[in-house]
Amino acid sequence: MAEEVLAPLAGKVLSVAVAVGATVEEDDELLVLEAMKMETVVYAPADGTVSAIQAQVGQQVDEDDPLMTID
Amino acid sequence: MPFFEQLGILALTPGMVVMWLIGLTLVYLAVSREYEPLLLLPIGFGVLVANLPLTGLMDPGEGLIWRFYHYGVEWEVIPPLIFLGLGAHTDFGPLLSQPRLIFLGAAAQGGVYLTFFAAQAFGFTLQESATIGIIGGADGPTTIFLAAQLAPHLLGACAVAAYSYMALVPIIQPPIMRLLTTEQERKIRMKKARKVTAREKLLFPLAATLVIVLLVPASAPLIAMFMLGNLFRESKVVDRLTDTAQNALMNIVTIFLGLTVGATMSADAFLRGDVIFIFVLGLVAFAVSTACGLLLAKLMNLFTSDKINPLVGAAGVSAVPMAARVAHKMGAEADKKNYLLMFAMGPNLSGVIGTVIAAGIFLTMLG
Amino acid sequence: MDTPHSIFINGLSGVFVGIGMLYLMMKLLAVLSDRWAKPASKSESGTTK
Repeated sequence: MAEEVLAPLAGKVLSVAVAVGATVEEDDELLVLEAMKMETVVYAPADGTVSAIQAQVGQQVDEDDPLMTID
Repeated sequence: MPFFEQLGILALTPGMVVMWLIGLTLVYLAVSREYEPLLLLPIGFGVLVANLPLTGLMDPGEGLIWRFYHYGVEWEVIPPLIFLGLGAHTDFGPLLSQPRLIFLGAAAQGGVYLTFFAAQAFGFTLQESATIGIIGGADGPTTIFLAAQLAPHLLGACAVAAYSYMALVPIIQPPIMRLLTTEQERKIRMKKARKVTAREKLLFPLAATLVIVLLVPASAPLIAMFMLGNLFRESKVVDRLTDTAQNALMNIVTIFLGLTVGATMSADAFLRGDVIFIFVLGLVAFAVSTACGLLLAKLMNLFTSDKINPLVGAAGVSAVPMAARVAHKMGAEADKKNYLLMFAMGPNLSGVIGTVIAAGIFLTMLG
Repeated sequence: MDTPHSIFINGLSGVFVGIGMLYLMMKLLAVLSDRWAKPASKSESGTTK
């Protein structure tokens, strides 16, 4: 059951906290977005393993862009 | 020896020295605490320089800074140009995506009117009261625009109050937000609203100009420039103009605005009992506006199943994007996965429009 | 005409009327936008939310 983590708002990816293959639990910190000069943390929606990371540091993302996939 | 008879230092008054301290404090706040530095730095310096004796900088008809002030502010050129830049920066998507949030920006003007009422009860004239009230709209250029026409002697104090409180929004708003909302309400997750097309974002500034100006013609200088800037941005065919409006033009006009506003604050204009009232009333205006936005959101929740998080109502106080950030942070405190920022931008932007409409109405009735 | 009360009432109601008109305009834009985006299904009425 792959779950896509979508961007909750438009912004720039500041940092990514996990790597592909990492095990995460729900509510773990996945990455930090910057919007309106404010840092927002995106949290894991469920337990699982990170199978893909679409977001790259420095990338500008729009709302609902896929950031990561968690299995 | 004639030169030594005209030393500036001989004409110094204590009032001037007090104003230096005020000017330097503003510069300190701008540089060290980064409170609205783009405005408070030139304002602070303008205060300092206008309170140096015998310079002639603010002499009517001749002074350098007087000329900037007269042609830029008294002639109402600079505030509309700031709005041109603001419009070019603004994305109305969040508002268009959920139109009902626009009423929260209207509600936030409650602070403007209640403060207007309080000010005139304290003895200020109607024109002065309107200028003090509009501080609650949390919009610098609109405050300056209104003050220049209705109460120019209060322009400096009102502008400094407005910009200072805008910087202090993260301190002023949270206590009120906590007082008027429950933990439960702060946790409300708002449903993602519809996607907005590029065409809508293009038509919006055109339609908004028609609607607003036909209703309140006095608001035209600000609204027309705001929407023109937005039209530049959304048309996507005049990137050079958009870039200029967003950057070079904004920066140039901001420099002149800050300097001239500061320079109006001479010792005799500023060191009066009125000014304390202005700062107190201005703070009240911000607080009441916050409350009105919150309360309307709660009221709207009684009539809809699609709940609005009341915190975004506080963002109707149009300190863009500070108030939206505050709403987001308060929401994240209650539920760390709640992302209110984009929802809060809706009321934040409609508050700007609301304040301009309020100013236009004041001008129509009192100008 | 120009008493504080009348300015208060005129002002606040003027703001709400102005914003209200903008609201209607925005809703109209939304409806039109939905209709332009779906030329195939004319029978579907635009969702107003």
